[in-house]
Formats: sequence, structure tokens, C-alpha cells
Amino acid sequence: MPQVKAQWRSLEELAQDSQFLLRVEQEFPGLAAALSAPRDRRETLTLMAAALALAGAGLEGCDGAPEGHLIPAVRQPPGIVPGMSDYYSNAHVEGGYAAGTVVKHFMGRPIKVEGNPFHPASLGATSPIAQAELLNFYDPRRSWGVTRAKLPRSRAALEQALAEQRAQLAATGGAGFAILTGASTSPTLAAQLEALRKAYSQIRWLHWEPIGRENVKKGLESV
Amino acid sequence: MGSVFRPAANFWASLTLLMLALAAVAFSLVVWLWPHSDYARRVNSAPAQPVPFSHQHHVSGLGIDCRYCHASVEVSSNAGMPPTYACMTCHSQIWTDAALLAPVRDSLKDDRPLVWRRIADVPDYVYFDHSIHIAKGVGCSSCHGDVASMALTYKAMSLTMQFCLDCHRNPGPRLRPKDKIYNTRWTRDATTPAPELLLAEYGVPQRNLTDCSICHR
Repeated sequence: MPQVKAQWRSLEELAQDSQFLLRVEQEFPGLAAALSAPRDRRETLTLMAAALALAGAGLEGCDGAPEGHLIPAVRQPPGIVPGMSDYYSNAHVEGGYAAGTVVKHFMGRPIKVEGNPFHPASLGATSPIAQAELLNFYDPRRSWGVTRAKLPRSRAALEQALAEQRAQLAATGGAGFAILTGASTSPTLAAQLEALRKAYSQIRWLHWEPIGRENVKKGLESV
Repeated sequence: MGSVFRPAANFWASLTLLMLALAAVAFSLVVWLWPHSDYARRVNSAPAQPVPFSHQHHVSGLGIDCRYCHASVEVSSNAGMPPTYACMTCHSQIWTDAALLAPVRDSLKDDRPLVWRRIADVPDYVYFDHSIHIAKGVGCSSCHGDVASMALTYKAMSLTMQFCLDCHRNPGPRLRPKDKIYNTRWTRDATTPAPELLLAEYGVPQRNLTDCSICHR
């Protein structure tokens, strides 16, 4: 029987990034020891009792009358009606080609992706991957701003870091520097990459599409 | 050998059994009735709010319409709460230094929303839509009471399922003319059209108002 591979919870853990492992150890001291130590029945029961006691402490307000909070916006965003869903136009990029979509959202939270009926290529249809785009909106790994070591940074900090890189790149001609992208059909991006390549001759551009159409292309060529 | 129990033990045994039976009945009654009590439903209780907002002052005193702040009540399931910006429409001009209003000013300054405590709520398994009630002639005060005379906002009705069904079973007498919807002091009087007339005017569908799926979707 094949051995089950070691499981991982993040890409950093999979890569055994020493800095990351150090941060985990700082965040949860003793976690590694606790996870590796064998637990016995008695300890499990103790922990269960403690968990139950904690859960019971939260039941005091349980008398059938729900209580909550109302949190109105500071400034009402235009076009948002509390309690009503709305739509906005978006584009879904697949293999470098964008198709128009219409996203239904509930007070800013997307709940459904459908094709834009005015888009000539789709006429309102979507692929399963475009439908699954919804999951992307809630992906914890989705970028939400400038970060460094998972901490938010200002735009000025980004520009400063880029300026430092630029000086370094100019010295080496871009050696050891690579840009990763998905497939792209954007002439603007192509022109920008070309300009970069002209400025730094050693730079590398790598692109990869998880669900690409290379095999379709190869198949057609071999026919 | 003498008997173990004396004759009086018969009496105490019966009394104990009777008491146990009474305790069981009393306990059941408390468990059954407690959730319906005004205390458990928090009726007439006014929770502390970040700002002691007075509907009495703003509605009865100044004549501000319900919809100025609860702006989406006619179009959405949610009546809407006023954004801090709406409060500051006036309060950037009047009572600009009032200590009571500091949380409102801070909210706008720091871009942090005010957190009000809910007064009226239904559980998440209940579907409730403000707009359809307004459109069909049910006034604010039918569920929220005479809000215009509340110095501090409190819950006036129990908002239990029984409360909803009382009206859904016989809506006619609770309906009011269009121009009285936002009058929280309105009561039915001699000039009010007959329930049948109002039901016909608003086109209230009476055959399915008590279907489970009307509220539990």
C-alpha cells in the first residue's frame, strides 16, 4: 500500500520555508510538541470537559429573543440599498482571453457570476471555470493590498522597495530576476514587458496557465 | 419485630408525591411560558445605545419623516439605518459641540461606523420584508409601536410568531389608508374605510397569508 504523503496547510509549509516555520513557532509556542505528543484517553476527556464548560458559558443569553447590532455605513456608498442585491459588470480572464461577466452581489458581497449577454463571444454563457470565479472572491490568499510578510504596507513603502530593486537590477542587468504571469493577450502588458526586456537584458519572463490549451494545440498540430 | 414505618409515614409519602407532581407541573409551565413572556422577549426594554437618540424629539418635535433615516423601507426587505453622514447633515450645523453627539462626530472623523443595538429582530429562519408591508397598508406602528413618542427607543411588541399570525390571519382591521402609514399615533376611527374596502384597495391576497412558506422560505 502506498504511504500517505505528508499533509500541508500552506505553500510555505510545503516548501519548508525556515523563516515561515520560525514565525509559526513564535505565534504558537509549543504547537509542534503538542501535535507530536501522543494523547491518552484521560487527557482527551479533560479537554472535552473544558471545551463543554466553555461552550456552556456562552449560553447565558439563550432565551429566544435574538439580540444583535445594526451597523450603518459612515457614508452610504452610491447605488447600495440595504437588503437588496445588485449587479456589476466584470470580466473573466481565461487563457489570456477576457469575457464579460455580470456579478450579482449582496451589499458588496458577490454571490453569483453569470455571462454578460451583450458580450459577442459568450452571449451570456459562462464556462464552469468562470462560474467558479466566485470562490476566488473569498479566497483567503486573494490579494487585498500591498503586503510584506503578511503585514499591510503603504504604497510609499512599495515604491521604496521597488526603487531599491531597480538599483540592484540596473547593476546586474536583470540577472536572476523573473516575472511570473498567466497567459496574456494584452498588448499593453506585452509592450511593458518588452520595454523591461530592453532595459534589463538578463530578465526572464515565465508564464504558465494551470488549465491551458497547449494540449489542444499540440493535438491539432499532430492531426 | 415492630414495623419499620410508623402510620404518619403514609401521610408524608403522599405529601412528597403530591409535591413532586406539583413541581413537575410548575417546572413545565415555566419552561413553556418563559420564552413568551415580555421579559424574555425584551418588550418595553430600551437597551443603551451609543447615542441616546430620541425619536420623540426628531419625529414629533422636528417633524422628520421616518423615511429620511430609514430610507429603504419602501423598496427593500431592510428598512435601513441612517449612515453617520445623514446625522451630520444637521449636526454639522446644530449642536456641533454637544458631548452626547461625540460618538457621531468621531464616527465621521475616524470613518468608523456607529454600532447600534438592535431593538426589533426576527430569527434568521424568518423571512421578513418591510417593503411589502408598507405597500399593502401596514403602518410602522403596527409592529414598532408609537415610535414617534419614544424618548428612548424600546421594543413595543413581542414580535413572536403568534404576533405575526394574529395579523396574517385577519389583516383587514390593521390596514390603514396610504397617508397614515407613517403616522405612528394612528388608530382606527370612524373615518377609516372598512377593513373589506382596504383589503380590496391594497389587493391583499388572503388565501395564502398563513402558508408556512410565506415567512419560512
